[in-house]
Amino acid sequence: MRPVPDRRLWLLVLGFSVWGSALGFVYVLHSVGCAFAWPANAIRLGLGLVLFVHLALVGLLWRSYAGTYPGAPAVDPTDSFLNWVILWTLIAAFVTIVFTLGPTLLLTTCT
Amino acid sequence: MTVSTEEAPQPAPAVDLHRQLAQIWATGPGLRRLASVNHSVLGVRFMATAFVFFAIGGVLGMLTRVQLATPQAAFLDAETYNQVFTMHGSIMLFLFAIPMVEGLAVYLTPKVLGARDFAFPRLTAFGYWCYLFGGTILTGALLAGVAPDGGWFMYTPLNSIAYTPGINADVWLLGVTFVEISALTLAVEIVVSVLKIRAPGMSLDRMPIFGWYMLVTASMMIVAFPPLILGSILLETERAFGLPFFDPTRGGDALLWQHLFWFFGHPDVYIILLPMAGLLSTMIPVFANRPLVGYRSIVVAIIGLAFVSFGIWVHHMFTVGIPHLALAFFSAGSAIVAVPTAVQLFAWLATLAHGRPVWNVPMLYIFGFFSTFVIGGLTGVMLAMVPFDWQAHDTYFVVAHFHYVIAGAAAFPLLAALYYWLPLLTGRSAVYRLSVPAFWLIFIGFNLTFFLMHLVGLLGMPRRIYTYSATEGWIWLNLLSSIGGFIMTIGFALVTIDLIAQVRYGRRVRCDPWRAGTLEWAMRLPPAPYAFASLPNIDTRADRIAAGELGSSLARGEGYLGFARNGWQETLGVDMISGTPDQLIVLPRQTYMPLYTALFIAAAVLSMLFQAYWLAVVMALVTAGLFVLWGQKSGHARDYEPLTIGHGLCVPPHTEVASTPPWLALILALVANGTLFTSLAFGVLYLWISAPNWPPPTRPETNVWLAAGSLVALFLGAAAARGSLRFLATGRAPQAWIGLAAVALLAAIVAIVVLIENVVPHPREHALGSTAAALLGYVALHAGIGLLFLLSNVLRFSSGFVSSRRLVDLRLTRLWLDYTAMTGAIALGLVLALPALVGMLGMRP
Repeated sequence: MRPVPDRRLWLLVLGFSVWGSALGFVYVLHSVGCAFAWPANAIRLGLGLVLFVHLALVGLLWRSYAGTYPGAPAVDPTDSFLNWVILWTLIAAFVTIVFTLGPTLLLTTCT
Repeated sequence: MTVSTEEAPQPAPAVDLHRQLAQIWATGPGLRRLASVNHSVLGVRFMATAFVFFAIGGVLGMLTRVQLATPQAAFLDAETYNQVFTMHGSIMLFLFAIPMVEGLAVYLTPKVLGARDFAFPRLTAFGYWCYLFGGTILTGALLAGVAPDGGWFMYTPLNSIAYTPGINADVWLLGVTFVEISALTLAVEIVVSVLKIRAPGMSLDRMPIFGWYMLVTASMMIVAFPPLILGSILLETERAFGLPFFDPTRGGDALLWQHLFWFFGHPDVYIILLPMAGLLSTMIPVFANRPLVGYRSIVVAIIGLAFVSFGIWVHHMFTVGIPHLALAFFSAGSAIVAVPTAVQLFAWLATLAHGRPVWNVPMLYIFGFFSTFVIGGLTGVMLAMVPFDWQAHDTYFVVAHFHYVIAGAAAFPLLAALYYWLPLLTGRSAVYRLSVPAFWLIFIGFNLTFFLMHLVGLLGMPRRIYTYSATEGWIWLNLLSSIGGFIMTIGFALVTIDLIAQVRYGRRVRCDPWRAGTLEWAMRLPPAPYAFASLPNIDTRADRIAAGELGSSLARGEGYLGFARNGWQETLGVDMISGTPDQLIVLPRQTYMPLYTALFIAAAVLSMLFQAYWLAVVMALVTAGLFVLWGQKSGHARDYEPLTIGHGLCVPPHTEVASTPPWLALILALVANGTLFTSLAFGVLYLWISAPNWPPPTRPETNVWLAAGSLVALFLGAAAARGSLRFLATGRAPQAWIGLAAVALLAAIVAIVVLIENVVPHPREHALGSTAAALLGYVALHAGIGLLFLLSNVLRFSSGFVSSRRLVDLRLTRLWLDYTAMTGAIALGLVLALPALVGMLGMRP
């Protein structure tokens, strides 16, 4: 069995890093938009776009990991463990993005 | 890792082996104890010191309860009360909870992971001394009557110089920052050690859950503490030199402090909670007589928890006037953080439900934790809802909530852990005569004290008032709360007496009294300074081993490194994921250097407190010199062939491998540093967009040519560092490249200092100037530290500690200078962009 490369460790934080990025972009875009009195629709569009891009990114990663998840007994158990954890952090991050940043599409923008 | 062909050091008979190892690892008697770098010694010191601060903080808490027990009480005047409640919170958070977590980590982590010590024992000692001296400065100020008095989160403008003109706030800003050096150094050390210094064969999926908890917690500390450190430096600079970062009349903003503080403050709750959860996840399976349910799910949950806890700092600021939309996503985040917490709670309950639980004193405390934490968690979800928070903000409801989630969630698991690991600490097991009544006194007292605070808070009692009128309807609730406080204190006193009695009269035990499955029980009790006479090979999950049986085998020297060699303190470095041994780590011996270095930092802090700034600069320079000196004898002064580690295997020494612990440590240090830099850049942009009195009266100007020149010099320095590394790797002398790098850095520093001197508007005139000066100062400081790296390279090359195979020094320098050049480019770019950014402000309505 091939040794699991060290860089796999970074993937453990990938999903929630994308969530952090989404939060950061949403926060900054909203602050700048409100400070410069951008039209509400423009702010909403920007926020929606940020949300969509990040959801798509995590969704693609989720799909990619779900597709390659080995599960077969011959696979290195450490590799299998890491894959499982990475997959579920991606799923959890996807749900967290929807739950925490979804309201940006519904509420009044700058009041 | 290769198969050994050299002759292995002769294994000694077990008794001789222990004698030899003890001679190498032991801390000396008398004053030589101050030179100790051993994790067991320092872990106990951390915990004992934290306990002393807990007692001081507890007494302060009781003083506040005496004052509030009756209306219009004259027990404390307003000024003393302010100092007492501020110091109660500051001590409990910064001098008890976090250091206690660190002490537990220091003491337990290497043992649980099957290592002989941490990766950087001198750093552990340095962290301890910083903690002790910083804490002593803070508590000393209390005795001198100049303790901080503006609340434990030091809000501006209350703690700005205009409203707190004495040194009270300076004591907090400098003292806490000093203590946080300890937290950061230990965080780096814990992450490196968990990833690199485990028992052979302990892959990540075999690591005990405690290892995961410590890994995640320490990683959180690396990111959480820098914003607080930055905020403290900026506020101290404002107070000392008039740079108006938080002064709205000159372009600053008081809310910037709140952002920086709570970006630390909120994750800090989980930094305290997660290690406690780690202790629970270790103890519960032992008492439930079955393995932990949901190991993988818990790993996912704590990774998620770590991230989400950072993203909800604004829920402490719901009342400052944030738009509804932003309130919504911070509120949603604050609610969803309950999910990963609940995953752990249900995993523990499932473990108990599917096991055959044994009732014992630690289990009493575990159930005490369950009830207090669930109450605290539920009130947390209530406070996450914006409309409720608007009603309850800054009332005693919030005080009740955070005492349930921090005090309850810390105290009950800690006491459970204390009884559980007492045999490991003392070699004696407990006889529970006082333990049970002590638990009930604490449990009843805790709930009486803090539950009633919810009610008095809902009745409208604000926090931090030193007295109240008899007509408010708060009298009985406050009186009962104070009585509860005394009951709890009696309980803690009883625990103290109980523990002293246990240490004196407890039954002697030799090993594994709980039939636990983790490695810390596979050793002599109390542990020898080298922890394991030989290191175990792990071929199953390392919380399911037969510790007693394995311990006997290891004591006979049948594991790895079952011999003494060259008087070296040896442990094994492993591949981060698979746990395969990949290097022999020779740890440094006892030294006074950490103590001396911390003493000089303490001198620098005191000099700043008394406004002797030139003396502070001198002390800081001596400290820098000591750090350079500190590194001079590290590693080996010659190359080695791969060295035998036993079982027919040999590995290279850590000085000759790429994945050496210092490399990982510097990466982590730069992550912390990068967080601080990002926070500073955030501060600049936050003031630009949110602060009043922007744009400044004077148009900002920067000398573009000078800025470009300093940037070129920084990149030249980084390139020269690469040149020196390439030369050394090919067997040529690197001094010329090192010299070129030094000249380039000096040129960059001079150019940046000139830029700072000519910042427009003047740094005292407007926050734009002060933030530009801070960005430039950051770059100059890093270039200066780069010079220290280069100086160390030259010294170590000339004394033979660096060679074409031992490249780590020059690799570290290259990494540092790359980072300096990159952050320099961003900082200078931001400073150059400021005029354009200011111009954009004209487009605001």
